[in-house]
Amino acid sequence: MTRHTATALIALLFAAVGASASAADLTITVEGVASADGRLMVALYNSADTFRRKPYAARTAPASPGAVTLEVKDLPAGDYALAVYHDANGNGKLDMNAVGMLVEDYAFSNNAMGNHSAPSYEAARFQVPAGGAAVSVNLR
Amino acid sequence: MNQRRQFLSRGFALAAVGMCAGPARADSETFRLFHQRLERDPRLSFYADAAGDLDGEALVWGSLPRDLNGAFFRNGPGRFELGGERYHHWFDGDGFAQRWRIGGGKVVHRGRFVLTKKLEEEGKAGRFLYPAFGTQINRRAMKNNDTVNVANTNLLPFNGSVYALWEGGSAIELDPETLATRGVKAWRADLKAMPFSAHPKIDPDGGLWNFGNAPGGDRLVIYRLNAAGEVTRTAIVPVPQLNMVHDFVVSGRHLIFLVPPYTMLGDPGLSLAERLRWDGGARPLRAVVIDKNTLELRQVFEMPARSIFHLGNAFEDGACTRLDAVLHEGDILPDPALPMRGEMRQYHEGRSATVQITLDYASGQAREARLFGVSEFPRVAPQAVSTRHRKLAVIGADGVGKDLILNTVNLIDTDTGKADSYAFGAGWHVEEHVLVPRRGAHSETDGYLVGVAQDTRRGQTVLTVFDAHNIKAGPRALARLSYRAPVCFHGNFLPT
Repeated sequence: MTRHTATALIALLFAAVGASASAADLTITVEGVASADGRLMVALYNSADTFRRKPYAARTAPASPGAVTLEVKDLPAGDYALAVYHDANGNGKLDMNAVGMLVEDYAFSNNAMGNHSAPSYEAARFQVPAGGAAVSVNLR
Repeated sequence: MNQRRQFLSRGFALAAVGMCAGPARADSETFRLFHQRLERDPRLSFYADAAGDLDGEALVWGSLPRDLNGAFFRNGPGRFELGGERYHHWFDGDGFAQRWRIGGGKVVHRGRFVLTKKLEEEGKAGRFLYPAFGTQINRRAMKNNDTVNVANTNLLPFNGSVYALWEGGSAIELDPETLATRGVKAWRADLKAMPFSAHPKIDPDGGLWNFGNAPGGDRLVIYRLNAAGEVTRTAIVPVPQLNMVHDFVVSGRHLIFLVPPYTMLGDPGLSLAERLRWDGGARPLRAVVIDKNTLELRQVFEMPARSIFHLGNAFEDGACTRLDAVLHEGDILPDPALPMRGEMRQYHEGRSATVQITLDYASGQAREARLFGVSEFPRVAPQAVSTRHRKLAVIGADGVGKDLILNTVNLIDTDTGKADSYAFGAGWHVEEHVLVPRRGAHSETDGYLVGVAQDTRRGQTVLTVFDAHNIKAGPRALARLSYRAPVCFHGNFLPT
């Protein structure tokens, strides 16, 4: 069932961590952070195939009300998409309530949202040129 | 595990109701039709858009009881229009909370929009962004069910606060003094964004029962809160084809839900209202009975298909449970959409009735006795909730003229089926009335019946006070505002 799959994927969004080495630096500003509770969890993907499944890189930072900035250094120039959530209760996962509603703040790059689940890689895709890039997403 | 996963998935899919592509359909044509017809027919002002904050002292006529002191908290849809567009369904509008403060011979009114995130974002954007119950809009994607929470159905005073309630999401907490919005309420950390229905029942010990359901989720969530607002019990009860449940009743031993036969269509281009397909030709109305002790399903009764919003009260009667409900022949959901485009609903004798249902556990039969004709908004005395009651207040239609207008106030004796009634007559449109017992009341009629009526000829809103033991004598007091206040669905009186 597609909805089932989509939701399972959302739950697995932030599952693993990748590694890399190259030139460009990416600055990620996460806006709309509601509180200082817990941590921000960011996952960066570099292809539609791995999107929401296997992050190319992952970063986390303590939450702080307003905006929080994270950096990913030495990325190969190219296309990426990112997902972020505010793990306010620090349990290491994006929480759902008992009827399956997501109850922690989350966002995707370009502030993209999809139909019935996460957006497509295409909708969340952005470019990191060799000189580096800065992107911002809003959790609200 | 697998079953739970699937359930979660379905829930999430539902959270996203209306997220799919398709044109925004709150349209300027609906707006144009309504305003064109409103010019000719002031009765349609009942469904008009509300501007904003309201504050006023009412002009009191007649005799306000000296022992009637308190705040009457009410809520209903206030914003139907934005950016030249108008919603398609009466249930879509953003909540406008109101309080009538009664005391010292004065009646003072206040109205404030519930400042949901949706109201704020759409106000800023100058147009509707999110899907509403009966209007499909998807200009901005939603994150969860509370993104589209319009908090427009009831206003509940409870444990020192008041809560604006909707059907598919969280309660929104308001300041009882100012009606300023405090924010989204999570009764417990793990209950964030859980559907918390607009029809909780406060029983004689001050605790509260409520339920929630996500249409298409096929799970009924049950909540028990104590008088201090702490969640003491929760349960999730699987109920197949649970696509529309608006209200319930509580008896001494049971929680009873009447589940009308709707099927959820998969077409994501439709609004939730449009996706609820009436299936009355194939499936029955079900009475789903849950045991209060175990919070497990006890029994399901099948009845001829009817649609339903509201129930009255329930009590145990030997080996049976008896309850009142307002049942509608066929699918009632499209009807409240008609006036949104300026069409009056038609009066049809027999279309709706208040009935008493007797659930006989031994035989598995549900028997019905008719109590009253076309009616809505059943309420019992607060001290009678979950125990044996004999009186049920409903708003009725006198049936004069072809249009359906609720314009009578009635207190039904549920044992005899006789009603003590008062008709407001032409030009009036009457809203829900609630029983307010006198201190130490010795019967259900020892007190007042308090409600609101719209004087559509003068464009003014009026608070009404009846002696509960003599409705036919007419209101003993009216408190008239100089302005029209938005129509409310439901409310509750908090004595002081």
